Amino acid sequence: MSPRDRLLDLLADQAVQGLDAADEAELELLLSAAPDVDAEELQRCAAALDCALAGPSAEPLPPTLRLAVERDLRRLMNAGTPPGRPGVLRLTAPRPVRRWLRPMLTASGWAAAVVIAVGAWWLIQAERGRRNDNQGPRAENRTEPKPKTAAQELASLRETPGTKTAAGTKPNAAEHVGEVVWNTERQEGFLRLTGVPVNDPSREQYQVWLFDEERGELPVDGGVFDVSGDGEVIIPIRARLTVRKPKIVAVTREKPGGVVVSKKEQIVLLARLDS
Amino acid sequence: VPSSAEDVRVSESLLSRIAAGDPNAVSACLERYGGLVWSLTRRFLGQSADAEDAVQDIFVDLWRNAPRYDARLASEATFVTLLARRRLIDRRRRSQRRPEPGPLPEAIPAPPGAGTDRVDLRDEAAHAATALGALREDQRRVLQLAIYHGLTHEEIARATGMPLGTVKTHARRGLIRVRELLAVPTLPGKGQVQTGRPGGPP
Repeated sequence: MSPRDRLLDLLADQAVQGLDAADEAELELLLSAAPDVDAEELQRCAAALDCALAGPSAEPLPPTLRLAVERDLRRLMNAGTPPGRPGVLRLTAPRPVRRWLRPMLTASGWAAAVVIAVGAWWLIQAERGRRNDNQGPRAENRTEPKPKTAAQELASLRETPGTKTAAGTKPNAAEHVGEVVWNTERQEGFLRLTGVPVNDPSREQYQVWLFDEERGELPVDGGVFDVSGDGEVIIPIRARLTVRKPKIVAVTREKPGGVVVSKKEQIVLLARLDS
Repeated sequence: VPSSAEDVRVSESLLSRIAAGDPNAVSACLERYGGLVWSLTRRFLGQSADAEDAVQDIFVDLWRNAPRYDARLASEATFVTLLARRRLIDRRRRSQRRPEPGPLPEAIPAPPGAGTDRVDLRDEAAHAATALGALREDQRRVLQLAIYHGLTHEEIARATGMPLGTVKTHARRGLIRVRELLAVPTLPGKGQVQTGRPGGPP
């Protein structure tokens, strides 16, 4: 199979069901050597097919969800963050290969880049072939590596330089209810909670807030979550906006879908990241 | 999905209004695409609690990417669907939370827009439906299961009894064939082969 055919196959796989990390890396290499290829064309075809198959009828957006989305978008607008601001836009994982190759993709570097990309692609193919030979007939049915569990991702984040950990307590600071793990550079974090009561998602949900020293008093929404059983739960924090100097992480109990501004009437957890 | 020329004209101005920071465009965008995104999300994630969170992510993503929209390449509905599918595929791969796999092949319902003679679809979607109808039966079936029902290659192989390699080949060749068919300029101003990498993610 030629690199061009392989590139098309990967783009088709990406459009239909996504790629694993190894295929993503291979796709990046091949795309870097094929500047004439529209990398989104097959995704547009899949999207057009999706529209065609779905037809014009659509289940309406639930009113509460619509309200939450509208508030999200208006808050982004009010925050003065222009759409498509560089540094915020990230549709896929970072592409180290492309950054690595970028300096070479000048007029004088094209030939070298193509040679390196094709060479690297052949190395990948050779390595895959060797693995397949070792696996024999099972190669066709190989399973992709399982994505990490939340606990594994939390453990990994703990090992990342710059990650802060803070104990989470109830507002009176008397009762320990878990911990917050946060990395500002990666904008990733987790709550590890114990003993937080089970909630009824149709009546209320827990909502995470990040107080950013640079943003003043209005905290950044960190997403909503539910607790469905006893014992320890690990919740990823999904900050809606970039948090640069986090001071406090809080969890409140709010109406389903969360709120834009919390009255802070039912605080479940407080954790000081700046202490 | 817009269904008239006027709808299309109005629709095609929405993302540019969002990109320009027009606050009134938010409501209009949710009115027009809320159902599309919600239906798509429910198909991908089922009844999971993740679905509402996903919808919020998709619209924030749409807001961030609005300036990238290029009406020469696709309709707004297709652009919205592209961003939503990308988010949903990514989310599903990371979480491994999936709705129950689809039923056995003889019981698989035809998607609502599966016919090839729909006149109530926007031009681009109708053109895609025609292209789908022009595929070989196996390719069409695999693409319907993969794109509309959201099954993985492995699930399609189990549901249809096809070898996994055959499923992958049908999905790839089928989609590439659709691309070729959509590139035939049967619609004025549409379906041109685009080259280069316009506005791709950084």
